[in-house]
Amino acid sequence: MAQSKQNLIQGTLAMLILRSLARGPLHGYEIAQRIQQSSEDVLKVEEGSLYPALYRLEEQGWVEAEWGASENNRRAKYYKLTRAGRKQLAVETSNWERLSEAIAKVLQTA
Amino acid sequence: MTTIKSIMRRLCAPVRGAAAVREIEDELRFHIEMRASDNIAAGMSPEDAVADAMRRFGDLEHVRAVCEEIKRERLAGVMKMAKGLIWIMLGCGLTLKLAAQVDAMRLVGHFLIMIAALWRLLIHLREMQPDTRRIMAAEQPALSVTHTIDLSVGGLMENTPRSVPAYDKDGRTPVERLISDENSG
Repeated sequence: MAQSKQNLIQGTLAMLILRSLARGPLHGYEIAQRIQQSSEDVLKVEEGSLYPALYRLEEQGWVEAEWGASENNRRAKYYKLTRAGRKQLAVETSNWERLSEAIAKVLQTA
Repeated sequence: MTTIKSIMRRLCAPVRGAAAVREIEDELRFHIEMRASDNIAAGMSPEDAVADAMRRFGDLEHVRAVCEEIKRERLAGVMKMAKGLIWIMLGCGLTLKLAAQVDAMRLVGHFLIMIAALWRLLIHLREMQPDTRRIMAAEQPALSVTHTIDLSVGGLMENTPRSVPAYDKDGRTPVERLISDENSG
């Protein structure tokens, strides 16, 4: 039976998080929703797994976190891209495009 | 400016160990509460909303432990960096104090030595303290009993706000409580 909802491919979560933050700061829950909505419900993040990934990105200096007030006026931790994070996003996006193009070529010719 | 802010934040991080653990808990709790609220808005019963939020989140204990480990690694790195800086300051201070020809430079050397010594003392005192994070983790469940998931957010419930404890007095999550109640019922 074909699965309509698929797990995120290992290693792409960081890129998707960085891409979600490209338009502005978001808290963790919003990031999970943004990924799911942008992929039209195809990609579903196991929500807890988002946080270790975010902490690693923060550790690497690609995102910065700051506490602020959420839309319902509650205390929430907002993440935003750093300059290094933007560069990393460009690199990862380019790598991903090359990889998917290569796979597409193999599928067409094989 | 951002870089300076980022460096300062890293250097100040060691004194925020226990606060960092509290922040992790606050952040994870916020996520689950938001999901539960949205579930209620979508028409779920409060019990189902919380159960679904917990299920979607995955293994809360594991996530919390991994996040704490990442923070701990970061703090260890910052501590190492701080100790390195202290040695550099001490070396520069001693060189200036012993070799400088101008009084003002010797004074700067003296000042650097004092700062380095004070900083090292603070680190030493901090290292002597018991690891509050470990104690907190051992004494408390992942989310404290006193914290509740407010299911009235957004006015989605009936007029009277209701709260569901994130953990009861036995340290059980809402999901565990539901399963337990079903089994006993």
